[in-house]
Amino acid sequence: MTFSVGPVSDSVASWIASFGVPATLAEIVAVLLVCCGPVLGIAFPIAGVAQYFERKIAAAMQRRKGPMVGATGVVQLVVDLAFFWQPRWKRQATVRKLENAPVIGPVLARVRQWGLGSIAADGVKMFLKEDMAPAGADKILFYGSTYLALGGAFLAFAVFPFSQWFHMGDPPVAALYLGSVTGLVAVSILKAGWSSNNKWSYFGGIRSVAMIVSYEVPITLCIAAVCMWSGTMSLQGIIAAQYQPGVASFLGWNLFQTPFMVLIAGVYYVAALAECNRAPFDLAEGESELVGGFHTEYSGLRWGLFFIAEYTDMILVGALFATMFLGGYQSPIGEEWIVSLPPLAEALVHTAIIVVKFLASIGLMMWIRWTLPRFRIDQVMKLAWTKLVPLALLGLFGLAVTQLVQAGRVGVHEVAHGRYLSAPVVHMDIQAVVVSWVLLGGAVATLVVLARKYGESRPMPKDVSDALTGKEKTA
Amino acid sequence: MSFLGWVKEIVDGVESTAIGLKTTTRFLWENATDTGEHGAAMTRDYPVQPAIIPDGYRGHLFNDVDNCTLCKSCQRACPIDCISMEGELNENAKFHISRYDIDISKCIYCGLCTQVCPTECLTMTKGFEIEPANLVNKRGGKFLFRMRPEQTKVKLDMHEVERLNALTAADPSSWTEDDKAFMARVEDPETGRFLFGRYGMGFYTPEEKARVDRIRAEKKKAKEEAAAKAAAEQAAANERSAAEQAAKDAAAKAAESAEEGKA
Repeated sequence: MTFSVGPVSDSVASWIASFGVPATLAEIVAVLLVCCGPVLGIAFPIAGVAQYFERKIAAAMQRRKGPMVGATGVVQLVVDLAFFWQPRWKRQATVRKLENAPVIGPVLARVRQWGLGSIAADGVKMFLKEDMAPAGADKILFYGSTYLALGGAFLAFAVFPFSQWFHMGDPPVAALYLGSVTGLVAVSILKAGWSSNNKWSYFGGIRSVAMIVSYEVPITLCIAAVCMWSGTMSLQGIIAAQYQPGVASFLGWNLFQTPFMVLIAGVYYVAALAECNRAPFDLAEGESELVGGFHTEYSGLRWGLFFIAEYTDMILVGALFATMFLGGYQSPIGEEWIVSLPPLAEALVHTAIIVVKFLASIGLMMWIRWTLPRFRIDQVMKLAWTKLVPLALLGLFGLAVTQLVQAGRVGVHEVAHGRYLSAPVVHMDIQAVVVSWVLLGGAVATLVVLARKYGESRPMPKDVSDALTGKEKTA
Repeated sequence: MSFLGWVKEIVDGVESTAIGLKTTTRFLWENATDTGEHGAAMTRDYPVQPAIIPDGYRGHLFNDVDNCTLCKSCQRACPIDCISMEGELNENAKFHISRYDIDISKCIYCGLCTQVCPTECLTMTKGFEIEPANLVNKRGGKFLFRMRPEQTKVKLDMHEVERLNALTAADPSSWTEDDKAFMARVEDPETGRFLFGRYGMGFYTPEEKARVDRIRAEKKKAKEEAAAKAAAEQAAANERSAAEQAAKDAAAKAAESAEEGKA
């Protein structure tokens, strides 16, 4: 019996077998590596390290310096343990000598200045804290919801393609699967909030569920639009449909097809931001009103799992955005030279490209988080139901009309598993692209100008306008 | 709400988000390159960069023993009795301070003792670091918080204090024999502690001396100016009251004469 999920696992298996390992065992190990490698080797470490970069970026945007924790604490601990019989001042003197030493000193200073010690310090702190549940909490749900949160975030990676052959699976209904799996996060947050026996947590859970249920609608509409455009619900198929031969392969990406795709992409990004509970949509953990929201009662590593789930969600959103609109793992400067590489090298290059793409998305999310203040719950609901849903419907309708006009020239018709280069992909003809961009761009520009000139904003509440114009209430 | 109003809300939202993103990018760039009209980060890398302490900060107390007359005004003014002192007669039959002790664990930094000090030798410095780790110098030697009996054995003037600071900051291998002898005199070899406190009794460094002298001169000038102003005001008030009195007298006289005339 042979195990294989494609040429990548085959080459890894032959490499392992070259050490004298039995062939079947080598194949199983290779399949496990290829399946779990992306999640455990890419998503998990990035989620762990991203919070450090988030703190540094936030500090820079708020003109602070951010974490400045050094390795001196660790060095002091080691020296304390090694020379425990010495008086304290002597141990401190040893550390000072190390800090002034020629090579170690500058390294320690640099580590301290970059705050690299905070990564290890946070991890150690979370591991050492007591894991406890509040009195009256529903223990099973309380403990279970953390696994559900992490599971919801990680299960989505089961269908996510990092390369032609570098994925766990590629079901033909991957988009549907994603829609249902990402909903698990809402369930876990509701469970965490409800089982904590804490009113703040409960409010956080309720808010989060209200928000996620609302934002699932525009997200599903966007995914449906992309699936309709590509003619397939498989993620490999969606990526294959964006393949463009030649050097300028980025022209084949969905984002550059029609202005409706740009609209769909914008709606998807905003809604996905809300879906993973990031600021400005982090009502569920609004610390000014709800202490910590749904994770108020969680401590130690259990809280850390929520944290990692949040960052994994961010990675997932970025990766899905890249897959649906930015050509997935394809490079913007031609695909042929990558595909002609050996399978393992091809997988590594493609993985690096998708990692760069979703890191850029995470950067944008952090940028937005430290720019915009948190919305109120009514503003969040209004944004979802009066702005995003109509815009998503407009985009869906526009894409449908474009496809009708192009009469079957878009989409992918026959995709062999992973082999997108052999698929007969046909894109819109150049006249249609130019016409759609010029016409729709002109229409949007006209609409913006008209709206700026004649549009009336919703009147401001009287007390707010009074406060803004300096007219205080006299009563 | 009209359709154009709906469009305008979207346009406004996108536009204001873009403006906000631009602002945060500018801050990010200025912070990363240490440029821009607002300069670099507003916070400081405190234990490495020195803290900025404003004038008038009420930090650790410092007594310049050269000027202290042992009047015990500060001891009486202290609301929590954390100051204690002892004196002895020297060879010229003059009082000489031998111990001046401030219990740092009690002191509330109210500054009342410095206000009553007649010679203004007791001042509040800008020192504020009382966390024990901050009292460890680069060689691991420790400054003392409080005056101890052994500290009074070694008396240091301000030049020697400066030399001590310079030597403790430098690498011990670069010390000369003279430096080693000096350090052996001021440092307890068993505990590694310096035999003088930077807290409580001591001497001014030149900078500190200049600062205190400047403050004293300012205070004196302000006092003189206030006195001159008060004197001028008093004189003006006297003049005014004299004039009023004269006018009143004249009016009274006129009334009297009028009454006399009527009568």
